[in-house]
Amino acid sequence: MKTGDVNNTNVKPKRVLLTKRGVITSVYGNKKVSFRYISPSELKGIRRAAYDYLIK
Amino acid sequence: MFDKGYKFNLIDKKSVVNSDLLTTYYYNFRGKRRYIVLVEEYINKVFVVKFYPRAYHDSPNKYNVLVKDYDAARVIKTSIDIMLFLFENNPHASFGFIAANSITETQEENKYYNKRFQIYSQLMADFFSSEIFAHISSEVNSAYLLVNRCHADIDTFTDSVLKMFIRNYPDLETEH
Repeated sequence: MKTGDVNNTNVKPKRVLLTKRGVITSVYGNKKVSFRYISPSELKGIRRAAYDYLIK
Repeated sequence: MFDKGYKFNLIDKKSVVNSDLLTTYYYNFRGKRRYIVLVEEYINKVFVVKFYPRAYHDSPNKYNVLVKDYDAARVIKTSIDIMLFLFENNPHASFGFIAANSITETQEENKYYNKRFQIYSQLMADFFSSEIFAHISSEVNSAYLLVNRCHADIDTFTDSVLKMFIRNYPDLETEH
């Protein structure tokens, strides 16, 4: 597979359940860790134009 | 800059029983120096990727060293190539990593939103589509997860991946 082929599909994204502001908190035992979901539109903003050629 | 990696080889594979961790794969490649890439395969096809210079194999700071070869781009791209290779062979694969803070003789970087995390998270956005992977990060821990969206119940799956991450990485910063 060529680099970037991972971007080359038309799969429809499934949504991830979020709490407010995209925070996903997971609890295991007495530990509680928060992660942040980065939305597709935010990722699009982050992605550098130099790599646009990878996305067919 | 991150266009080209080095050619890599699978050199070993060790299976583990009775654990979330199923198999550890060892890849190597030669850049300006030799590197080892460890890929840990956990349940549900979750792969955690780590790499270090082979010369630091026995160092407790092997993931934290800065080697000043000015070759980071190709080294990091090789690890991304390994992730893409794994994805090609495991279309249901999800990925995760924790970016190590840099430790030198004189300085120790914070774990929070460290330099490696800033570079790696940018590259995840560049190379991995949000249509295939849900991108989830923890800046406090400099941790990043690419959760494959192929799962029917992605919320439950994401939660099980996060729980597994917490179980296997006890050093993660927690809330109280």
